[in-house]
Amino acid sequence: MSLFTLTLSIKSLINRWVTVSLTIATLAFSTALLLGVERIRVEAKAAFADTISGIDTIVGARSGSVQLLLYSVFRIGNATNNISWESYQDISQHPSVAWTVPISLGDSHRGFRVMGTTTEYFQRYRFGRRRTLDFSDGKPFDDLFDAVLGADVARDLGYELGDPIVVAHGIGSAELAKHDDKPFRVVGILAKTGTPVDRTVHVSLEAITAIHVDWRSGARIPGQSVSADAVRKMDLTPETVTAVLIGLNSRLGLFTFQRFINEYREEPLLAILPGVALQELWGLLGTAESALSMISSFVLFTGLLGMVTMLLAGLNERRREMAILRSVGARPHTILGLFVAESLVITVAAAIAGLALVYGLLAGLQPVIDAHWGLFVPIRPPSDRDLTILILITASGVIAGLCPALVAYHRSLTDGMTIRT
Amino acid sequence: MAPLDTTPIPRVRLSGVRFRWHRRLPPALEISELSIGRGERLFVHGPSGTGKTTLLSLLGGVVVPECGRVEIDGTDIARLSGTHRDRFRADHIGFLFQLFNLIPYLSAAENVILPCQFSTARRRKTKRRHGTVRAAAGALLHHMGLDADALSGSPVAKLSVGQQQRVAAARALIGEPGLLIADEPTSALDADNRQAFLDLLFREAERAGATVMFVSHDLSLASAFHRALAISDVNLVTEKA
Ligand SMILES: Nc1ncnc2c1ncn2[C@@H]1O[C@H](COP(=O)(O)OP(=O)(O)OP(=O)(O)O)[C@@H](O)[C@H]1O
Ligand SMILES: [Mg+2]
Repeated sequence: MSLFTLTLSIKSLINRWVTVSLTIATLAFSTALLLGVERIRVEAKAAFADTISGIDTIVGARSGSVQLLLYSVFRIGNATNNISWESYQDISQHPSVAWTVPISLGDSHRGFRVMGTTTEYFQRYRFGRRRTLDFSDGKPFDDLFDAVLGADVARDLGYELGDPIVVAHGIGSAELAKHDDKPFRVVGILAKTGTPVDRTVHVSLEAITAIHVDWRSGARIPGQSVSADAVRKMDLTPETVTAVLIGLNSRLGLFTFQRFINEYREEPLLAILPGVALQELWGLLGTAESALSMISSFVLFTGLLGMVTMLLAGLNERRREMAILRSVGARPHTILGLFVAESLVITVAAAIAGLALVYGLLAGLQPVIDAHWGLFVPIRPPSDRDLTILILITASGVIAGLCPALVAYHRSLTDGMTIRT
Repeated sequence: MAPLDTTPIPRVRLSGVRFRWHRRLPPALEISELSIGRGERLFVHGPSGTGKTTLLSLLGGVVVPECGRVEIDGTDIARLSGTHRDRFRADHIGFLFQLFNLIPYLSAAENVILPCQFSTARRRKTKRRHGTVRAAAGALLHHMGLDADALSGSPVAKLSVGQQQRVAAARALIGEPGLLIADEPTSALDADNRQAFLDLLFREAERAGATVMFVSHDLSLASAFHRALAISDVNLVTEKA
């Protein structure tokens, strides 16, 4: 294919710019869809994986490992059972264990989950490439009714240090029952992490015990009310925790520790490896994922079909054009090349437009995706996979374009000098 | 009228040619002998469907006969490979059709220089004479009574039919091909334009030293040619029919 053929095909395409740009738009949208789905998929996985860096294992009441992973780290769903404080003590004294961070979930504040934990959480938690949590303002909780907010909680609700917070019982959005007799005070705001930490209100484990001393099974005990001051004098050691995040001395100790948990006699426990549980989760989501990829591929296929339709429909009215080119000396191969060049130009234009569209959408929707799903999709240069997709799209465009090209080629051989219209 | 060139090798010579469009169809053309001299202007006429266009296709090397020789300047193009035949056509032959001769998305000048894109020989000849192919296109259009600059702005489809045919004539003659093949190029023109167009075409063909093979139904034009030929006189197929 010569430069002349390419110029000729571009001029011919410009001449038919309305249909051509519609075709390019269709293909660009499907390209953008394909790249966008891929981007979200990769980023979502990366974000999930980023959330659990630095945790060797998580222990909770026996349930599904995916379920335990989801509620303990991602604040999705609920624990069916808790672990007793005694069990927690046993776990933390196991020789393989380097550190433990107990967490207690179940309450919320205006749609954000409240998590009781120890101050060690702020030192042990790692996200991304082993980054530690930073305070953009204030410090860890110290007093019983201190609260530390994730970045999104502070941003969305407009909280500053010193603001009072009332925790609601349960995690429904209705907030029917409130722990309004024991308000908290914001003492720290964490820097943005791009993980569920951003959407969490952190308080001490004792505080969780404190706000529930006068509660039984989700309701206040009638006629029995303990004031915020009185509660400070009580023993606030928790009876249960929801899960324990654990760091081990050595990865080698993992299997003995897991066996210890699985054979623990006092209550049924489960120890999961976050990475393995995450793989299990992706396995569960695999069908949905491939369905999404299939749909995107079908959309692309439809776009290519549209292009072939356009080129084939144009063939008849361009029969004369081909005969003229033949008469001035064009070889049948030139005619073939002309049509292949047209589909090449169309698909390359569509690929570039699709890529631009993805970046445009990403730039525009980044804050929306972040606010709604807590997924921060960074704007990165196209990955190798993106480029592979683009090359595949272009290649399939050229292959699809061979169909009208071969028809034109064949006609240019049989038409002779008779110009037909 | 220019005197006939009498060099021994004729511009065109067909002998023992038989051609069919499809294996299962009867032959569309059978010619035992036909010669056209250098610089000759030949007028071919005949009823519709009698093989005039088919003859031109054979001469252009767009199709090949099942037997016989199609010689142009002594080369039997029926024996050339497809690629060589295409190159031969680009180098030696200018085509002119009845209507819509132009590529709609190219300017008039771009249409004129098209043969130079496919033929190195014609490009060289053009450059030797005019410096650049653009200049040649401008000069040829000027000879045809058109102003290349004035035409450059508007798409060629907006030109009048007469203007389009003159652009096509300029294209057929750029780079001085030995043979100009014209298939009813005047049938869409009115009588005045027809004569004026023919005069311009002849003048430029003569300047290029081209043999003209002209097909038309309009016998009133025949007197301007050196020779008039009824297709039935040479095509044995129509004789039988
Ligand atoms: N490309 C083609 N494929 C198959 N058959 C063809 C083709 N071109 C012409 N024919 C057939 O060849 C025969 C001669 O046609 P041709 O076009 O040469 O006639 P013509 O003398 O040019 O007629 P007209 O004056 O109408 O242009 C006709 O029977 C026609 O149907
Ligand atoms: Mg004809």
